[in-house]
Amino acid sequence: MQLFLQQGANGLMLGGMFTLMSVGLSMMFGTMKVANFAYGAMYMLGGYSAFWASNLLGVPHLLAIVIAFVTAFLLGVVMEEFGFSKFRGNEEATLIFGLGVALIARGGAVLAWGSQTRFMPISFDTYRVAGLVLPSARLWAAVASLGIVAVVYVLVNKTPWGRIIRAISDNPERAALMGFNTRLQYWLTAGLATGLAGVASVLLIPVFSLSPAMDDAALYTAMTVVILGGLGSITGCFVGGMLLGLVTAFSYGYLPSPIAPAVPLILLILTLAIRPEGLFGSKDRVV
Amino acid sequence: MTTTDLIKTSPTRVNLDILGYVGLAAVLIIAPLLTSNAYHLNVFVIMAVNAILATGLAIVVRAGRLSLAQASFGGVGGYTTGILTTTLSVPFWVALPIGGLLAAAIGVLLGLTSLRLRGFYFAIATFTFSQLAIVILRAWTDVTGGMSGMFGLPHPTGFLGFDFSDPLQYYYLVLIFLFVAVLIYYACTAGTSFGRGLSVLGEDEVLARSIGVSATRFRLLAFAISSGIGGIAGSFGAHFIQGVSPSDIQPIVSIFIVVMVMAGGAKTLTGPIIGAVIMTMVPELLRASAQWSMVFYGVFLLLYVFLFREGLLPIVSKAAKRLLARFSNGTMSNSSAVPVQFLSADQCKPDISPTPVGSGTFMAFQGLGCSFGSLRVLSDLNWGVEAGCINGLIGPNGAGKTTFFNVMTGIAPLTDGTVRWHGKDILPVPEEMARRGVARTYQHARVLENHTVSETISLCAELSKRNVSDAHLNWLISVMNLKHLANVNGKDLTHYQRRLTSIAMAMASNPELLLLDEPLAGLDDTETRELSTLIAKIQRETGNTILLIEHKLSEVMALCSVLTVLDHGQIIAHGTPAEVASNEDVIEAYLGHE
Repeated sequence: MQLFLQQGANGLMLGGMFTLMSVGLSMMFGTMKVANFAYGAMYMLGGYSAFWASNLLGVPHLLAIVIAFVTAFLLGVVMEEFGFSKFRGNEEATLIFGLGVALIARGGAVLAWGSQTRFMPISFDTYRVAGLVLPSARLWAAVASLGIVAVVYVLVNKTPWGRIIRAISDNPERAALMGFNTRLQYWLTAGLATGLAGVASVLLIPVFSLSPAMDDAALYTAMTVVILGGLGSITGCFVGGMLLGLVTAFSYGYLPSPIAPAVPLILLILTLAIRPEGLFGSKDRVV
Repeated sequence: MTTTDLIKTSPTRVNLDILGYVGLAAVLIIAPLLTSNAYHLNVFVIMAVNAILATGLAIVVRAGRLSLAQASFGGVGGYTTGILTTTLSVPFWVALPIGGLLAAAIGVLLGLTSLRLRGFYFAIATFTFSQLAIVILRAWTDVTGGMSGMFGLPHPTGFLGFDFSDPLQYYYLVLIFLFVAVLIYYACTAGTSFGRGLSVLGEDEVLARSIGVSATRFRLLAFAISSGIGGIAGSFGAHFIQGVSPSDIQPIVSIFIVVMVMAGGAKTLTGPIIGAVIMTMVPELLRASAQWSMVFYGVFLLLYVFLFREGLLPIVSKAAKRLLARFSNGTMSNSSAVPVQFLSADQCKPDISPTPVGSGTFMAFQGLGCSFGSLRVLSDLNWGVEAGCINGLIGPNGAGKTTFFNVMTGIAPLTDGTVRWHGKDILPVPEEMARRGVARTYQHARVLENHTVSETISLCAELSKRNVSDAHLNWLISVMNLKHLANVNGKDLTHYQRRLTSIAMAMASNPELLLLDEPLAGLDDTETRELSTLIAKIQRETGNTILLIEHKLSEVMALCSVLTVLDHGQIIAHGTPAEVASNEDVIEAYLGHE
C-alpha cells in the first residue's frame, strides 16, 4: 500500500512535469498544425541559456527562467519565419526541417559546451508527508506546471487573443481576409510554444539535469503526451501528461527494471493503433 | 508532336540513364582499388552497407511513408545472424536469410500501422518502434549482451577461394548484394506492375485505389521487402565490424539513413546510393567528429528542404538531359512508366463495353444508406443503373450525390442496405470496384502529377487488371484530344486538360460503368459544349453505361436518357428528362416553396 501511494504521488508529480514539457508542442500542433521536430532542441537550448546566464552572469533563478523564455521565444519566431511558414501544409517538409534544425542544435551544443551533464546551483529539500517522500524539486516543478498549463488554457480558450488564434487555426485564409495579421499571430504562437519549452527546461533541470542529448527524450515525451491526449487540446495535454506520468511511475514501481521502460512505449503504440486521434482529439487531423 | 517523334525520343532518355548507371557502377567497382589503406577500405564497406539500407528504405518512401526505423531492421538482421552464428553455431549463409525474413516479418507488423497512420503520425509510430526495440535488446541481456551488445561475430564463411576477412573482398561481396537490392528496388518502382502500382499509391492513395491498386496488400509487401533488405544489410554490417549493439539502432541512425535517401533523391533508382556515398564519404573526407557529422547532416537536411526537394541526382540528371536535349530534341520525363504504344490512325478503335445496351440493370441498390456518426447522408435508396445509356443524377447541393458515388465505389461506408452487381450482393471496396469495371472521376480532377498523360493512361489500363487493347487506348487519346499532351506531366496541365485527362483515365480500363462527378463544372461555354459532345461520343462508341452528376441542367437534359433526382439523401423523382422537368417535387426542391 505504501508503495502504491508513493508511486501514485510520484506519478502525479511526473505527470505534472510531463505536461509542462509538452504544453508548448501541443499549442503549436493545435493552432499551427505544425509537428515541430526541433521542439526538443528548443527545450535544450532554452535550458542552456538559463544555465549560462546563471553560471556566468550570476543572475537569480527567476530571471534565468525569463531569459530561457525569451531565448526560446526568439528561436521559435525565427524557425516559424524562415522555416515552418514556407512549408505550411507540407507535413514531410515540416518534419524534415525540424529534424535538420534538431541535428544542428544538438551537434552544435556538444561542440560549444561539451557533452557533460550539468546542474543549476540550487539546493532542494525533500518533504515527508504521511510517510511519502516528496522531493521538493519535483513537487515544485509539478505545481509550477499546473499553474502554467492553467494560464495557457485560459489564454487560448478564454481571452480575445485566444479567440483570434483559434480563428486562424480554423481557417487561416479567411482569418487573414477578416483583417487579422496571421503572420504576427503565427510568430506569437510559435514563440510562446517554444518559450514555454524553455521555461519547462529550466524548471526541470533540478530533476532531469541538462545535456545536449536531452532533446530526444524531451521531444519524445512531449510527442507521446500530445498523441495520448489528442492534438491541440490543452485539456488533452494535461490528461495525457498525467496518464503517462502515472503509467511510468507504476510500471517502474511494480515491474522489473529492464521491462518497465517498455510499458509507456507500448501504451503509445496501442494508442496509435487503436485511437490515433488521442483521448481528446478530433478525428479529422489524422486522415 | 507526331507519332514518330514520340517513338524516337525515348531511346535517348534510356541511353543517358544507362550511361549514368554504368558510370556509377564503374566508380563503385574501381574506387576501392585506388587505396590499400585498411581504414579507407573499412569506410567503403560501411558505405556499401549504408547504400543497401537506404535503397531498402526508398521503397517505402516511394510508397508514401517516411519511416524512422530502417536502422532497427538492420538491427534485427544483425542480432539474428549474430545470435545464430555464435550461440547456436549456425553457418552465416544459413543465418543470413533467416535474419532477412525475420526483419521482413517485423516490417509487416510495422506496416500494419501504416494502413491507418500517415505523415508525421507514422513517423512517430516507427520512432516508437525503434525505441521499443532498444528496450527489448537491453532487457534481454542473456542473449543480446544488453547495453554493450554482442561482439566477436564471425566473418561470413569464405567459398570458392574467397576470404571475407579481407575488407576488399568483403566490399565486393556487399557490392553484389547492393546490386541485387537495386534490382529489387527497380522491380518495386518502374520495373513491374506491382512497382508501378506502388508508385501511384505513393503519389495519390485515393486515386490509386480507384484505378485498382490494392493499397493494403501493396503497402504491406513494400514494407516486407524494404525491411527484409534492411535486415540483410544489418547482418553484413554487424559481421563486418564483428559486433552489434543498441547504439547501432538508435533513432538518430535511422534519421541518417532518411537523410541519405532524401539527399540523393528518393524518386530515382540510384539516388539512395548517391546519398549514401555522399553522406558516408564527406564526413570521412573532412575527418569530422561525430558532432560535426551531426551538424553536417542537419545542414544537409536544411539544404534539401530549401533547395533541392527532389534530391541531388535529379538536379544533375536534369542538367545533363537539358544539355543533351539541345542536340537531339529529346523530351524530359522523370517517370519510367511505360507510355501508350502509338498505333496508326486506322487502328484506333474502342473496346466495346461488356454489358450490352438495353440489358436492364447490372448494378442495383436496395435500402442503401450511409451515415457518418449521427449524420445521415443517404437513406433507403432503391434504384438501379440503366445499362447502355447515360443516367443523370441531379439534386441541390448537399443532396448526397457525391456521397452516393463514394458508397458505390467503397470510399464511404455502406451503413445500410445492399449493393447488387450482376445479381450478386457485394460490399464495395475501391480497388475491387475498379477491377469489376466501375471507374470514376472526382469533382476536383485528380491526375498523376508526376507522370505524363500517356503514361498515366497506360498505368490506369494496366493497374485495373482488365484486358484493354492498345487500339482502345489509342482511340481514347485521340477522341479526348490528348495526343498533343501525351508527353506533358500531370502537374503542367490546365484545368480543362486535367478534366479531359481524368475522364480518359477512368475510361482507360474500359469500364462497364463510368461515374462522372460534375465533369462540366468550372468550364466555359465552348469547353462545356465540347466535353458534353465527347461524353455522348464515348458512350455511343463503347456502348458503356454512364452515371453523370451535373448541375448544368440544359446539358443534363440533352445528354441523359434517364434522370434521378436526389434531395436530402432520398430519391424524390425518377424518369425521362421531360417527366422529371415537370415534376412538382423537383421544382420545389430546386426553387423552394412559392
